[in-house]
Amino acid sequence: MSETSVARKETYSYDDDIVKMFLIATLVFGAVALLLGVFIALQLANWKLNLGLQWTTFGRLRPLHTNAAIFAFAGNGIFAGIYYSSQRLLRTRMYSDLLSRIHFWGWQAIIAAAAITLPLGLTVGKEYAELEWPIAWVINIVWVIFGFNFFKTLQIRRERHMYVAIWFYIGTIVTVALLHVLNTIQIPVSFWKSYPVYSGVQDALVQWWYGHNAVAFVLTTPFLGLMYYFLPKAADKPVYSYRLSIVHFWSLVFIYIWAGPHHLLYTALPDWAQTLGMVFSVMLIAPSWGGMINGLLTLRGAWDRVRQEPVLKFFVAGLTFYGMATFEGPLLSIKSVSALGHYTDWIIGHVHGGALGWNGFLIFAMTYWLVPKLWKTELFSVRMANAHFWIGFLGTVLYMVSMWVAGITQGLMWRAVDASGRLVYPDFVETVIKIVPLYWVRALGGTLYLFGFVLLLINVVKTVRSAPKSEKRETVSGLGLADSKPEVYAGKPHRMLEGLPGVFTVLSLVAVLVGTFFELAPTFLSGEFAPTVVGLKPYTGLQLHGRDIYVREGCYTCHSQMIRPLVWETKRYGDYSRAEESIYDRPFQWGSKRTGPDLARVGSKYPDLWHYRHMMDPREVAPGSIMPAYPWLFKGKTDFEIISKKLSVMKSLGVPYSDADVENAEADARREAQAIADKLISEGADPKTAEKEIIPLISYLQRLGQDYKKGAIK
Amino acid sequence: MSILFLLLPVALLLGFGFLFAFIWGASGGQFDDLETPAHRVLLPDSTEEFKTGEKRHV
Amino acid sequence: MESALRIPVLETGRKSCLHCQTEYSAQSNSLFCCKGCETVHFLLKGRGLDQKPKAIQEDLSYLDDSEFVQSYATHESREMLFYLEGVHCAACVWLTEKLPDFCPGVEFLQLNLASGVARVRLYESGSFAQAAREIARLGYRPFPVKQGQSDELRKKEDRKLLIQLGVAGMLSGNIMLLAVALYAGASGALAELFKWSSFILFLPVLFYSAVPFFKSAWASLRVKQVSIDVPIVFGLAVGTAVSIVNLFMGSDQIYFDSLSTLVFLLLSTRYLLKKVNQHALNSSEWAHFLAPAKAKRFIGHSSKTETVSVNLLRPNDLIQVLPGECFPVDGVVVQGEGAVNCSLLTGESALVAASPGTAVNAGTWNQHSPLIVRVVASGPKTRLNRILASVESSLRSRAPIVAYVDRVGQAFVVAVLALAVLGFFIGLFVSGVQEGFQRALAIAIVVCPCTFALATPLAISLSIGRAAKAGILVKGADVLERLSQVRTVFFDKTGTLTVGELRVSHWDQFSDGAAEALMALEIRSAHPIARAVQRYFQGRFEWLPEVEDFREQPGKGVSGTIRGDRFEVRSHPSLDQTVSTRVGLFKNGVIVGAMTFSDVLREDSKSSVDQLKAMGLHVGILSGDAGGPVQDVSGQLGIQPGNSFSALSPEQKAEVVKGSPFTLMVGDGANDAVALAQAHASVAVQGGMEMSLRVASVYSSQSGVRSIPALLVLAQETLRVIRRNLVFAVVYNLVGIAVALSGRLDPLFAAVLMPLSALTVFLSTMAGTGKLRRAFR
Repeated sequence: MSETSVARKETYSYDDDIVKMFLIATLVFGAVALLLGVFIALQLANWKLNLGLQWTTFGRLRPLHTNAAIFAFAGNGIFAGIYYSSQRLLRTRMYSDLLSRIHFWGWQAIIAAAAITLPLGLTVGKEYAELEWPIAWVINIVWVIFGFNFFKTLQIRRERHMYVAIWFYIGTIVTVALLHVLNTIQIPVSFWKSYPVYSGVQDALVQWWYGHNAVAFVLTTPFLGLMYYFLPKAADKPVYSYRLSIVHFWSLVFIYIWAGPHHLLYTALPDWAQTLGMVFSVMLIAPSWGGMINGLLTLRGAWDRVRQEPVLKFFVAGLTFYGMATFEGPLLSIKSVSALGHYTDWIIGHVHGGALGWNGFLIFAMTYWLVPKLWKTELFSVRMANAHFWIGFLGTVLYMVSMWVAGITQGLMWRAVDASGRLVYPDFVETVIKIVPLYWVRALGGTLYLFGFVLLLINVVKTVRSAPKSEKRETVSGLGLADSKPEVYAGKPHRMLEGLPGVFTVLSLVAVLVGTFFELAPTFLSGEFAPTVVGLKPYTGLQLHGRDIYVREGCYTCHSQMIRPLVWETKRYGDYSRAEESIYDRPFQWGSKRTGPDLARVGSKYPDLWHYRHMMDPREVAPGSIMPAYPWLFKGKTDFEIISKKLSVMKSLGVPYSDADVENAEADARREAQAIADKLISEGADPKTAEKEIIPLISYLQRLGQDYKKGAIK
Repeated sequence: MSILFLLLPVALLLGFGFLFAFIWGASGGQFDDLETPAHRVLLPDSTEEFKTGEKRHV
Repeated sequence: MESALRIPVLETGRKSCLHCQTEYSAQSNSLFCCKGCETVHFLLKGRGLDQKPKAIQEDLSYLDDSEFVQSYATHESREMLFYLEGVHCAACVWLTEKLPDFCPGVEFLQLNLASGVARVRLYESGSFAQAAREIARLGYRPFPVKQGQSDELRKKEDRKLLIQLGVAGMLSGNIMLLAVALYAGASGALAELFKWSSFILFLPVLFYSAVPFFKSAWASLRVKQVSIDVPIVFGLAVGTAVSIVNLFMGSDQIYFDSLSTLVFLLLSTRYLLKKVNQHALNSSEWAHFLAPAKAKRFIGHSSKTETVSVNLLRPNDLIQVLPGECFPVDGVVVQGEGAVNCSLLTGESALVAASPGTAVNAGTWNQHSPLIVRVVASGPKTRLNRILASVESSLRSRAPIVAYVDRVGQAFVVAVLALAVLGFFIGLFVSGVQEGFQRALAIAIVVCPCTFALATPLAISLSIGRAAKAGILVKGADVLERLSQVRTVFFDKTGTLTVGELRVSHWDQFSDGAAEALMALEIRSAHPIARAVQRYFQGRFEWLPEVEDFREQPGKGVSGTIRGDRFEVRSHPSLDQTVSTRVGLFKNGVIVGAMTFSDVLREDSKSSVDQLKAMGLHVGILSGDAGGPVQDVSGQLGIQPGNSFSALSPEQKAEVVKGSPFTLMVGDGANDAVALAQAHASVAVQGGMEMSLRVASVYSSQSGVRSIPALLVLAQETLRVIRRNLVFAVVYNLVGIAVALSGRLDPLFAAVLMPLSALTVFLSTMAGTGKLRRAFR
């Protein structure tokens, strides 16, 4: 073998620029999300901070905060982690730098679009899937591009074994693609307005099937992947049990897709579905805690370093919060506990235990570890990072504890019944006033967390500025795998698609095709899916338009429309809601939080004038209320022209409107509006009220829950 | 609840997708050695770490 | 670093540094571009600077021998497994897996840290010897491992079982969720959807994952045997039939969830058992890991030799055997004068003179000077191997306890089938076909063959694994049982109870200068007595007198002239040999000094003997040494004089061992071979591992007898755990079947109960007993 035989070595370098871009985006949008969070928390504590403007009112900013936190902050965070770790785990550069850039700029464009449309009220009205249909489609496309780029990188990998983090990333990409496509099947009415294909209880199940799995596959599996890469690297210790990480990944992915119904316990969902949801959620403790235990035990032998090093502190605290949140979740999924906790602030405590504690801390740990490596310099100040940890930790604990106290207090007050069977706190506002001080404590917790985040920003900026300008690209050498396909196909007669990567690209495409198919054939499909109930009349044109205003203003962020079959609820709100009542509701507005009372049977409970003055200034009719005022509803003109288009789309979705209804929808609506307005004007309302948006809203509110009263449904 | 006629097949489609991935992985020998990967990830990725040799603890 | 090291030159005409990949001039012959890289490189490897790997002179060219490659390599002889001694951390993985960078011809090296086995794949141009030499240079001694088809098959089989397990897991998980929906009251069209979906999901479980059960049940039935898989298959068949009938009849009694969970849990216990066994077996398979004996064969009639694996030697080949090496084959000395230690075969520790024409046997050691031997017989045909072959077959038999449990299992299975049929008729009688099937199914499922199929072999494998971790290799499952029946323990003295080296106890000097002369003489000899003297006088003298005409008679002593006086070292009748060995130094025939040697007891011998006596065992000594030292040692250990025998030849030792039943022989694998082989159970504490593992049933890498008490406790406790499991199984099954017969046991509850009982048995076996855990902290 001659001396000069050339070693078959390829030199390549990792694409760290994309990681820097995503990391910077994470920090920028982290600030946006946290600022929004603190702002809307203060709005709950003091209603004046809604400023009376439609673009700054809680109803519209809360969805922006949730989308910013989940997709902008956590989203960019996992992309930064995935791009950095996958290239090193697969020992190859990303398949195509162009696709990475398209993914990056596409994702930031989506965030920008959301930041514009949500404050304007252009929303679908489904939690964590509020973005209107054009943006939803851009998300689908950008996600498939990201998936394609990732799987092609898998194909050309130089490391035969796929580390467990890679499996978690694969799980994330494929499942989120499927979830998002299935939950954003909407029929457009106009460029910025669309109605989901499903309605009522169907929409509820698909929404929360998506809602829970978005939490699972955007906020858990990718973060577990990041943990399995960055924690061993930071602790310089192998993961405690690699076998356990593989077992808990597969046990997670094989059956995870059943989650969802635990968001709908004691609602109009059939009882067996609720029990199924409960059983499944309690079972989820095992895989989740498998991950936590594996992470914490990885630090055996390095626990002394946790005292000095902020990165390890963030990891340890993050994993512990993950364990807490994933124990609290299954606990809340038990029906009797859900009866107390559902619709209260306890749920908000659970969500932020996971978001601030697990997702936030893991991103901070990754950032403090990654920034020195990316910019090849020392971290500006370790003491500041440690300070950030303690402030952030205190902020998270304050947030969670205040929400637990608020949630349980309100839950118990709602259900308090005295000896003679009457509600101890019949007036809903009493239960709100009681917990407003806790909203201040929560706002303080959020502010502390934000302050800690600011310390991170300063630290990173100072570190980057002190980085040496050396542009020497860091090259690595490695051997190309003789056959980049795993040997299983080497001798196989029938050549499978290029192994796993190819298959998953196809799977994602199939998911997108399934979505498009449903999109294009709504009538055929929806007809069969939307059972009609004899005798139940759909909303009138004006009421439907009023419902869209309800959705636009984000009323569902504080009000629910689902009376649960529990004694104290039927006493307070009237008979429990039946599934049939909401079969024409597109999107379903059962809601998940009762900052305000339930509205399922608010129809004709108060006269029109009450609503008119209540929307103008809630405190005038309900002293002590923390609801913001909606003055712009009394200035904005109702858009009567669009109503007939809305009815025709609803008709195509199977709602029993006659052609005549669609034909003179506009005339009917104007006549109905005029009737309501005349009565209000006689009681002293502004003479031009007939054309104002308050009228359709009042007509919708007065219709809520009426179908049941007239005996239309047994 | 007729939506389940769509949801269940899709859920099982995804389940089988991952099952196929598991079979591809297992027959491709991905799960033969579950000890070394945990150590291999700790290897210094880039030459910079080689040069300095020591691990910069942050 | 070696000067003549070659490192591949890149296209750029320069070399790339092993450590930091920067390129440096091709002229420099170092492996690194700079001193810094070299230092960091070794620091990184955690070996520190002073332990730079000493180049291992071992001649590895035999690796390229076509016949050798044929038997050891796979993948069209381009891949071979090497056991690397000394791999322990991530840096070792990084270092060894960089092999292709500086050893052209190597495609990749993949290291499995747990087993220490590296897979080396070559290009056509590559050579295994070159790769092995590079690995050795990095500091890891490579041993080729006989991969053969068995390992390749085993890996394929493992993967298949893992896939079957995964399929069963995923499907049973989803079926169970569908079942929960049905229990919780789903009705109407959706209930039908769930029932049919669970049926469709169940099919792959039945026809793919459950195949191992069907195969083994069918195989045992064909042989008119009834293996423990038969009731499982019976339960599956009945359950599936009942469920399909009910499904079509629209009734709710479908058991797809129970059956799929049953298959999944049984498969996972089987997978776990396989992994635990593999782990335990791996450590006792060390023997074949070690390199096969090697010999230096003369090429044709030239004087050059090549290193060849022993089993490639053919009769009439000429081989060279250096002093200190073991004769690998039977043969006849052709050239050279020397001495041979045949203690292994003859038991005589005295050296036998060897000169051209004398016959030598495999397993004996060449002491003094290099000899050239013509091969007469090699491989299995040598006298040693023939003796050992006869011994080895007896070790292969299955443990009686496992055979006994299997027989009980047989009867148990037949009873279960009968009871299931009985249950069907009772149910039929009580209310009808439906109830009949339900009871039969409940019985078939609730029955738990786990104790017979799983717990007994698992208990034994775990104990073997525990012993292996403590460095004690138990050769087979039956050995544990025989160890538990031991009544008396016989120890070999030299090397086992005692340190084994002669130590100078005291030295009388009758005239000055005698010490220097003695040291001058003994410094030249390798005899044990000489080594004892060298250790005793170490560093005492700055200079030693010159010795001319030095002669050493093996077995007699040494002599030489210093400054004209004739000095001789030999034993002298006047010095009594009874208590310990005494040697005199004679100047021109007059005694000028006398030195007495004694064998020192090991510090753990006393405590171990006391422990054994506390356990109620009789303890004795069998030694080839003279009566004196033996009495002295047995006195110190408190062993009754009646139990210790001295001046025994290995054959006589074997006779004594054979004479008393249930004896444990503890001795040196090399020279007590025959006695060890004959004893009821035997532990080899000394001697080469490969040789000891051939003769003894246990090889302990810990020197001394410290591990014997713990080993016996391990054996006794393992048997207690097996008995405890048997009692539990009998009680569980009786209760289970009784309740099932009475009809109050629903198949789903049975499907939950059965895995629970398997789990309890499994956990009780893993936990073992308190005593066991204390013995093997």
